[in-house]
Amino acid sequence: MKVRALLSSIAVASMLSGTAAQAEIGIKNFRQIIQSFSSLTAVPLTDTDVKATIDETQSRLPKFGRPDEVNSAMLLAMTSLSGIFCQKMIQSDSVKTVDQRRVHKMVDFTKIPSTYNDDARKAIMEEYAQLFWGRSASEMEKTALIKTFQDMQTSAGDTVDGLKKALKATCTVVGSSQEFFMY
Amino acid sequence: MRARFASCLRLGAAVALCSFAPIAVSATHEAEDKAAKLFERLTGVPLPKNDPRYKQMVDFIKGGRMTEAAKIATEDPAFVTVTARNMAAQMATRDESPVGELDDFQATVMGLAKDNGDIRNLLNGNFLYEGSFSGLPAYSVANNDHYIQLEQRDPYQLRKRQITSVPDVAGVLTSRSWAKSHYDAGTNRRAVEYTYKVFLCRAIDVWKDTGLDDFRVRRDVERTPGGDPAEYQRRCRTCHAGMDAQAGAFAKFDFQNNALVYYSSGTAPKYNINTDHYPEGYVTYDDSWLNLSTQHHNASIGWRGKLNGKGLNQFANMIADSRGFSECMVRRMFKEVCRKDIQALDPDELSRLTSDLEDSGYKVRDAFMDVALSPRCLE
Repeated sequence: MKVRALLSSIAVASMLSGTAAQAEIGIKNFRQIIQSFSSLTAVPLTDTDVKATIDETQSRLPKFGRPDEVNSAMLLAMTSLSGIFCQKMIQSDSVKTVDQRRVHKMVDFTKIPSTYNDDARKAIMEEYAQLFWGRSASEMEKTALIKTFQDMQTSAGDTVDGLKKALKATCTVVGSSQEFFMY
Repeated sequence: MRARFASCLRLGAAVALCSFAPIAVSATHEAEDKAAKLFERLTGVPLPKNDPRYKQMVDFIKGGRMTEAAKIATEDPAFVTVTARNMAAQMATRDESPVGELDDFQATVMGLAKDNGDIRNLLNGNFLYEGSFSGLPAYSVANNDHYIQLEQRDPYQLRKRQITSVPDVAGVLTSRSWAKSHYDAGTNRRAVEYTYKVFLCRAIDVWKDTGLDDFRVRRDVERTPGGDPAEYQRRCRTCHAGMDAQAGAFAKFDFQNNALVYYSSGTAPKYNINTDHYPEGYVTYDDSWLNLSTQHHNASIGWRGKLNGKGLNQFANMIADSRGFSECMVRRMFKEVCRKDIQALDPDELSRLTSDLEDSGYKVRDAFMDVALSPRCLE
């Protein structure tokens, strides 16, 4: 089930980035990608787990920011980075009051995923889109992201812990999509 | 770009077509788009719309106060640690890669960007930058530990540090980083080659010249390579005549046992090796130098001031005072911020930006802002 969820995530990421591939636009290089994740999620680069993930992935990220540096290894590195920054941001937000949170203004971290209806889920997806893309998510994109959320809910369980995992999976997909690393 | 991209998606059009389509946007949307783009260009990172600086930038742009909007972006640490650092790393490494550990050369570019310093100080300054907080290993010309730690903790916290390790001070040309890259082994000719490449944006193939007098070519260069004197005249001389004449500037510098070395008396032994290749060649006794590369296509470098001298500082001043240096720095900034080669795209705009840099006192941060606000960058 976890494999299915991952494949679903990658499919969504590919779909979200498909249109952008037609544009003649550069991409961020490794330094810009890493700093962008840190700035947007407010997770410091000095965090031990973040540092470890950077050390493990940096060599696979674009050096110069040229479109020809996009490849499978790079995309997988993006997924790993996005995952750790999302996880840390969710952890941090989950212990803060709503007004202090980076995102997740609509999330009650004490509730299980099934208590969130489609509108609530769309609101969460909208926050992630605004954070990483600087724009609203389209209905099509929201629907695709909700599917990821649901798949992860099924895989990780309808529990409080499962909620964080589902949030992480969705956040990771948005953060690792091509639109985020376009320059 | 992001906002426009989103509009395109909603319209269901291909971005490749859509990005050229005239889209009626309100002044506010246009200002928002510009603010987002300006911030990302200058810092390498996006600015969230809920960040209070976003609204400030939009308001400035709507009021036509573009420079003030750009200033907000350059006050973000990422302007220094990402944008200036990317440019610095490509200048500091022999393979022009943005990857590599932080060092004294890169920190100096970053520090000058942060402090809006005079970019000529990269070459003629009597200081480098170092970390400004306690607990770091002391600066050393024998290792890079200080900068490795600085990078891991907070590379934005920088301060000037007077260079005391050598008497003939020339900014980053007397940094450990530069020494490691260009004084290590070899004959120090590489230092001349890379001075031109890094600070004048001219590779040796561009500035070599067939018509120069070769009286300063050293003894280690064979005049009849493979038994063919024409080969020397045709190929070797074109680079060596100009390069060897200027290499005297570096004659007292070396990199040994992982450290920058300065010879207070005499010159580095590497300057007088393989003397049997051509015993009548030039003998290096001191650090005097002569710039012969001033005519033909090299006149376009725009030399100003003295074309000969003694020591590295005088040589560094000659490079820093040239129009070619200012132009090269603008090209590097434009490439980093706008991802385009302004020389190929619009030489007139390059000339304008270069004049702006010089007229405004060579201020690094101001020049970055000027570049980012160029219509050629924002288009």
